[in-house]
Amino acid sequence: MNATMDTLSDVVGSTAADVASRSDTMDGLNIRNFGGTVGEITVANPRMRTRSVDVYYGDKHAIKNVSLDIGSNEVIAMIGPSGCGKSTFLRCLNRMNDTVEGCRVTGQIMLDSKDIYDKHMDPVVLRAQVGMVFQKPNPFPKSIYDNVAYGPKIHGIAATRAELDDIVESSLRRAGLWDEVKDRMDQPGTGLSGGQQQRLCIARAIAVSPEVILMDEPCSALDPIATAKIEELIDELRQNYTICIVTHSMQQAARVSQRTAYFHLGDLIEVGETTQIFTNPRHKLTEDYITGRFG
Amino acid sequence: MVGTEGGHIVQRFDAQLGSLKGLVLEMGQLVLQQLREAQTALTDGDPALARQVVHRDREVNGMDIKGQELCLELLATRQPVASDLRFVMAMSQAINNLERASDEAKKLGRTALIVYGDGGMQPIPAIFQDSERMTELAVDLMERALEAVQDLDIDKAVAVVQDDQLLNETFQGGLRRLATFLFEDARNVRHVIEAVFVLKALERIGDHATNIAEFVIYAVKGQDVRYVQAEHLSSGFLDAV
Repeated sequence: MNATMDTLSDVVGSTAADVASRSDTMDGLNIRNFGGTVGEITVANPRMRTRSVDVYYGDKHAIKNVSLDIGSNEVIAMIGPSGCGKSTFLRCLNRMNDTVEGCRVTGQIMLDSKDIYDKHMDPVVLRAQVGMVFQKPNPFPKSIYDNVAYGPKIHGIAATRAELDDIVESSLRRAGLWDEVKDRMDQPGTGLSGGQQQRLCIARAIAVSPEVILMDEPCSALDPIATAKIEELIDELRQNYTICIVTHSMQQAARVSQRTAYFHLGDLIEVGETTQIFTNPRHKLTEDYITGRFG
Repeated sequence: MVGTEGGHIVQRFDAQLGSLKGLVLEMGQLVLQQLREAQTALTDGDPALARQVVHRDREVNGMDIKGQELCLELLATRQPVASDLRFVMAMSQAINNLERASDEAKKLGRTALIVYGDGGMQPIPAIFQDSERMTELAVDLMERALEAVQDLDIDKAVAVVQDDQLLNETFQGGLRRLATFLFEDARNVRHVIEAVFVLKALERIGDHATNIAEFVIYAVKGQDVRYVQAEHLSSGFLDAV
């Protein structure tokens, strides 16, 4: 148990005493087989760490005892059938579930060494650090420039107009959109194509210098060309950010991610290197789902 | 389970995987027929049968192309993953090995033509004595490798990999015996060279059967055992890795 505690202390960035005080919830944990998950839930350089996370929507137990590290500069894909809890889990990572009535989250979710559910954590600041891109592109009904400048303005990131201009340009460049929009920055963001709008939303998330970007089926409304551009962008963004992506496309998960997590009925069934998951999954439920035998 | 054993939601996918396995088994039977008839041509000194073996290799080549096209179609249209992907890859490799085994059988047929055809060689039937025993062993290995494909059976596959050793030892013994023909009369050299090619071809067919068995293990367990010593292979070993 001591060895386990030491490991846990290291993993969650807490002192041994902190951990001991939570021993009622942590007792008997097995890092390598936590919550019944098959595969290695920890990584060497975690950006986020979740431990024993449960989510309830009223009486419905949507996420069951999920523990998972999300590594720095990695793309982790979350897959599973509809209703498995993958989006719910994703939305826990920046407290988007706070806005859902009747939703209750227990367990620990750490961003670096900070508990994001700590009472002193400001959800608005958190959501700048952990940005989100949704299924359907949702640009503000404002100009392209203002869509990207909005976040830095409200967070006081830019002191001058010149600084703001720099942030807008660099964010649009990183999102691979600059060359397409630089001559029409004052036009409405809603006037762009679907793929451009989604990249605008990614630029908007980047503009506030997040550490983590959450993507909830970011390509499901896009054609294959726009999808390819987003996937290429995800690969480039990995150099500077950690990315968690929920996707129904297993091919997309296989293409863009380094690790893959498979959810089923609220349980995290298996997590592993994406290559391993798609060539030799260890859990039968994972195998059945990804091979199309899930009925 | 892998391949056709489990029901995909898309039943057409199951049917395609079943067709692929069926093609491999059919191709395997054709290769076995080639091998048996090539040996008969050697044993009986039957150049007509030998010609038939050489000619029939084209049928095997046709099945090779058809099988690889089916694999390509499955990869392109179904994007198989996990056990399905391993199964398709394994069948592609099995087809490749069967085609090469057929090439080896064709070599036996060509030798029979050289020795018993119009090549002007005076046959020395005793010189091919070891090839009969080696053909029996190679046919047995290939039959069992195909059974392992049919049933996707690890134990059968492991047994094939391990039993190839007997064929290898028989090959070595055959080479030593062929050397005595040279010691007796150096003018036997041309016959001995032909016989060495025959024994080597049979030894290679055993290797192809072994390869097929190893790919069955890969398809079922996801473990590449091609470079694992045969004596270390067992179901327990595979579970432990």
